[in-house]
Order: sequence, then C-alpha cells, then structure tokens
Amino acid sequence: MSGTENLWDQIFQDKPVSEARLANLRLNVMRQITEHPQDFQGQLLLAARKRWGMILVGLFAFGGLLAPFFVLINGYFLAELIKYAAGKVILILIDIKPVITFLWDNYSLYLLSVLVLLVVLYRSENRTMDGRGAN
Amino acid sequence: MDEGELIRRVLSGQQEHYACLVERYQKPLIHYLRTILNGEDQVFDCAQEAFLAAYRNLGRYSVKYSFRAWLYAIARNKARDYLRKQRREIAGAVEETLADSLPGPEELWLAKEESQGVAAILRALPEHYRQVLYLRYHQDLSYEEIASVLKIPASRVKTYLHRGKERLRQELARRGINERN
Repeated sequence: MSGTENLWDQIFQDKPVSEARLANLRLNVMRQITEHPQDFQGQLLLAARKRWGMILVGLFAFGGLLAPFFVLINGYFLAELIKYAAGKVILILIDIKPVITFLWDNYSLYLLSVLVLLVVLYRSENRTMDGRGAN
Repeated sequence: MDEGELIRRVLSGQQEHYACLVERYQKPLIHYLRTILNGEDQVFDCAQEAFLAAYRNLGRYSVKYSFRAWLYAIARNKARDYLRKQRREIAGAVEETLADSLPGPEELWLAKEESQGVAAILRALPEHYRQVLYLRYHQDLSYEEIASVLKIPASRVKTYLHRGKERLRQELARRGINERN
C-alpha cells in the first residue's frame, strides 16, 4: 500500500506555490470584494419575492387553465342531468296518456257540466254580494 | 471556524471572513488548476476569477454541499473558458507562426527527458482520468465531490477511477516502472 501511495506522490507531485503570489492573490480578491460588495440579504429577499411571485403566477395560470375545463365538465354533467330528467318526465307522460284519454272520453261531459255549474253559481254569488242582483 | 459558519457570516455582510475561505482553499485550488492549465499566470488568473465568481454567487450556494467541490466546479468552468479562448487564439495565429513553432534540438531533448519522467505518465492519460485520479488520490475528494466538480454521476467517477488506474498501470509497465519503486 505504501508503495502505491509513494507512486501516487511521485505521479502527483505538486510544484511548490510561491507564498508571495498566494498573498497577492488573496489581496486582489479581497480588494475587489471590498470595492464591490454584494448585498446578499437583498439578493435573498429578491429571490424569495421572485419565488413567491412565480408561485402566484403559476397558481393563476393553473386556475385560468383549469376554470374552462371545470365549466365544461360541469356544463356537461348539467346537460346530462337535464336530459335525464326530461326523459323521465316524457316517459311518465307517455305512460299516463291512455289514462288521461280514458278519463276524458268517459267523464269529460260530467266534468264540464260540474265546471259550468260552478261558474254559474260563482257568478250569481258575486252579483248578490256587490248589490247588482238586488236591483 | 467551520466553512458553513464562515459562509453564513459572509452572507450576513461580514465580507472580511471570505479571506479565510480564500486562504483555506487557494493552494489546493492552484494545484488542481495546474492539472488543467499550463501557464502559471493563467492558473493564478483563473483562481482569482473563480474566487470572485464564488463570492458573487455565494447567495446561491447551499451548505448541504461541499464548498470546495462547488469552488472547484467554478474554477474548472473558468479554466475551460481559458482553454477555449487559447485554442481560438492559437488557431488564428497558427499560420503566421508555423515556422517558428517547430521545436529546436534543445527543446526536443528536454521534451524527451520529460517524457521519461513519472509526471509525463500522468500527462499521457486522458484528461478525465487524470482529473479523477488527481482529485481522489491527491486531494482526497469524495466520489460525490468529484462528481459535482466534473458534473458527472458518482458511478462514472468510480468507472473513471478504475479505468484510469488500469491505464496508469499499463503505462507504468510499458515504461518499465514498478509500482513498488
């Protein structure tokens, strides 16, 4: 193992770095940082605002996209419901039509006679009430 | 003071603490950049730009990751930009200086001497193997750190390490150098 490590050391031998150049590098970096400092708090705040803005825009866009879809779905179900209800009513009407026809054929004269009698009685009653029958 | 605390202080406005980070990582960064770039001036310029870029983007850095790996990744990108720029310049000037660039007998002799040295073995390896081997065995970076520096999956780092060692062994055998030496 030490032989291999020795080999790595030989292969990857680093040339020494001048301390003066390193100090110079550090000074240059720090000088530029001091001259142009970054406002990290402002950047973080801006990033947070951007993130929330994006979330809101995304939500609105998502809602805008989904709204017509919901309207379509709801409209479809409503139409289906109306069709279903109307179909049921028509079926009931079809079923009771012979009954109504039968009743009308047999009892229409009696029914009309009773109705006419009721109307005549109602009108004569009204005339008595408003005094015209007294004259 | 650990690097997380240093970064927190710099982010809270105490810029002077960044000097500690520069001091801590400047030497290993320069050694790493030397494996990519050739000229010493380029290496120092690139290191400086990397430190400044890291400072400017410190707000985006997450303490979940290693600062060293993040810094090395920035430096590597800068070094690649340098190399691209250099290649363009060389391509532009190659016709003018073709005759002058031919090596003389002394340069040929020096190149031969260097090619026989151990350092030349590393130069013979492809760049990605060389960098993975260097970062792992010389700078002791973890697989995950190397993966984030080179922007490759950790599984590929292991593959590169294995293949790199194999290539190195072959190269050593070819040159008659024993691992135990």
